[in-house]
Amino acid sequence: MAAPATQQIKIRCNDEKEFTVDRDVLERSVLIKNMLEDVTEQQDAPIPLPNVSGPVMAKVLEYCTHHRGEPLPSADTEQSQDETRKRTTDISEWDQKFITVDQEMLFEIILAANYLDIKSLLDVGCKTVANMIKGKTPEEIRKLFNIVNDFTPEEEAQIKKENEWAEDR
Amino acid sequence: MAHFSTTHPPIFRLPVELTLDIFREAAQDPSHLGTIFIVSWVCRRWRDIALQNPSLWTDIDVLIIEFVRASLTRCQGRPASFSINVCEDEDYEPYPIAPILHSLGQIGRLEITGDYRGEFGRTESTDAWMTPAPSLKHLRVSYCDFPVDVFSGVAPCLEHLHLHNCDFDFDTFPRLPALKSLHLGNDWGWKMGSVISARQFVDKLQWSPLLSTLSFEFGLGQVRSGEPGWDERLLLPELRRLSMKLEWASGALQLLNHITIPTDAEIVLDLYQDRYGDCVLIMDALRRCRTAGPPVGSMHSLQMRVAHKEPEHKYYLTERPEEGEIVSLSISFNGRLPLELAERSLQELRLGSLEAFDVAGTERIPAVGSMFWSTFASLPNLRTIEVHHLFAPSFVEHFCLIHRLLTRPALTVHPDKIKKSRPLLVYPALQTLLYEDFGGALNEHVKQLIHGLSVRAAAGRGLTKITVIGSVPLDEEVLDNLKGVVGEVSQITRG
Repeated sequence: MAAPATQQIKIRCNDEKEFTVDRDVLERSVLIKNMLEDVTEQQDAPIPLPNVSGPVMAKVLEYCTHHRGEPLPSADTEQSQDETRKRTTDISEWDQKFITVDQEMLFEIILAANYLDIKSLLDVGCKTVANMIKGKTPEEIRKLFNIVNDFTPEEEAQIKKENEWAEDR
Repeated sequence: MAHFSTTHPPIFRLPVELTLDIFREAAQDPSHLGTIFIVSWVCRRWRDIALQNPSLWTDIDVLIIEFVRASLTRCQGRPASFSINVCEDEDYEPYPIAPILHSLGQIGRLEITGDYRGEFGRTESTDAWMTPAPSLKHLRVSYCDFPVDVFSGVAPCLEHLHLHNCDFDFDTFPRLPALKSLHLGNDWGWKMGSVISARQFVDKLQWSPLLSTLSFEFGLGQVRSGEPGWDERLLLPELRRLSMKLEWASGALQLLNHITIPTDAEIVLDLYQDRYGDCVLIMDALRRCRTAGPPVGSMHSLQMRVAHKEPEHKYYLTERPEEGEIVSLSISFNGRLPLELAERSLQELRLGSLEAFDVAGTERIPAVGSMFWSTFASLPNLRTIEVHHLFAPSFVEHFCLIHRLLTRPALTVHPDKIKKSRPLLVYPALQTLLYEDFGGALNEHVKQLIHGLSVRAAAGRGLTKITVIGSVPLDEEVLDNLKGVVGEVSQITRG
């Protein structure tokens, strides 16, 4: 017996770019999953995603396709996942390669994951940024993220005095 | 998200909650302890985010006192939780922990693991420890000289106190009215300054009526014997679990004899003891310490492990906790056991499922024996019997014991008729017999055993294995004859 055909869903990004994607891939996003569950009749009109651009959505779909079929975190497991997250900043090899992008794209992916409610992708993004921060001095962090030091010299001297013990930790 | 201004760095596009998630993620790594301070030093925006969210500073594993002090200034009055582990610091220098102690007013949960030399905390003044701690609910201290007395009156909300490998005098134990769980313990080999008497225990814990969990774990520590004539009992109406891991059963006895706990409270005893008498006395104390006592044998939650000191030995008394049925019973008699108590304990034990019985006798066996034999004679599942003959004066008496063990009480047997008796026949399920005889006449005795009807008859019913333990090896002829009857014969020769 032939396997039932996978339902195809259309989505439209804020730059009018459209994607037609297998439903189970899209359902990695809790936002879209809930939307689809709310719609009882078959709709041909694409689902609008006004907060995500086409190029970013392409990356998100790459992630969702790779991880399709994996169990979604349930409400019960979220707490224990939080516990786990406290102890590890490990990111799988594939995810590391996937998230090796320029900063513009990295933060867009994090924002998209947050908007689309894809917890595992959000975790990968946040851990990646956290790993970029760890072990660096304030100046190195500023340089890395193009952040301007907007403290006055007096403020900076005071903060430096407060935190000097932490510099080599 | 094109509406964000391009004059800001891309990372500023992240909303505050995601930025905080990233800060938390970075701060969790103990090898980068200062990260949380570093990020608050990068720019005004990040500093505001960090300082306006005290949750970032309230639940952190720390090694460094400065870190604690700096964190506490950022908690904005919220009860903080700290775990300080000195042992992990390779460059250990005794830290002055006064900054933490002076901040106790802000701490809700504090865990301190000192160093294995027990020096942590020793340099602190009593004044430092006496800082009022109105928010403190959890305190866990290990490997630390801890002047526990200072908490009298300064920690009115302390609910959970866990002191492990801490040197303190129980006489100074404070009044803790909110206390719900208490653990006092030390590892094997760790010096234990605290020797508790039952009277101290009653005096100190009467101020903690809400206690629901009580755990004692004294490696080489002791519980002093009780005072003659003093018979007070401490009522612990809320107790749900009592756990005692003690080297000497007598310590457990002292405590059990002076507490009253709810009937359904769970009791877990882990005692190292090899005397049946003490075991029975403990079971009697367990029965009497409950507000309304069911027979001990029917308490499903009782896990009693009173073991021989040698780890290769079987547990002395093992109860299958989930069913409350004893499946294996090992008895070693001693002279301290009152016969009445022994008899009552046996009646209370649920032995219906007993599968294995191991008895090491003394000259008192004949006196105590009859009550046991009459009980065991009716057990349908008993498959393994081991009789140790270390102290019985003669083979005849030994064999008589086996006989009495395996014979219905109504059957009268005289020692001179042993050879003609058929004692093993009454146990159709008997599969294994361990015969232990350290006399020099082992071979003669085994010959008698073979020529008697009982072994042959039992072999016909299901006896398939005999193990002979003695100080001399069996002669080949005797061994062959025995194998011809039972099939599987093994022998163990000890000096």
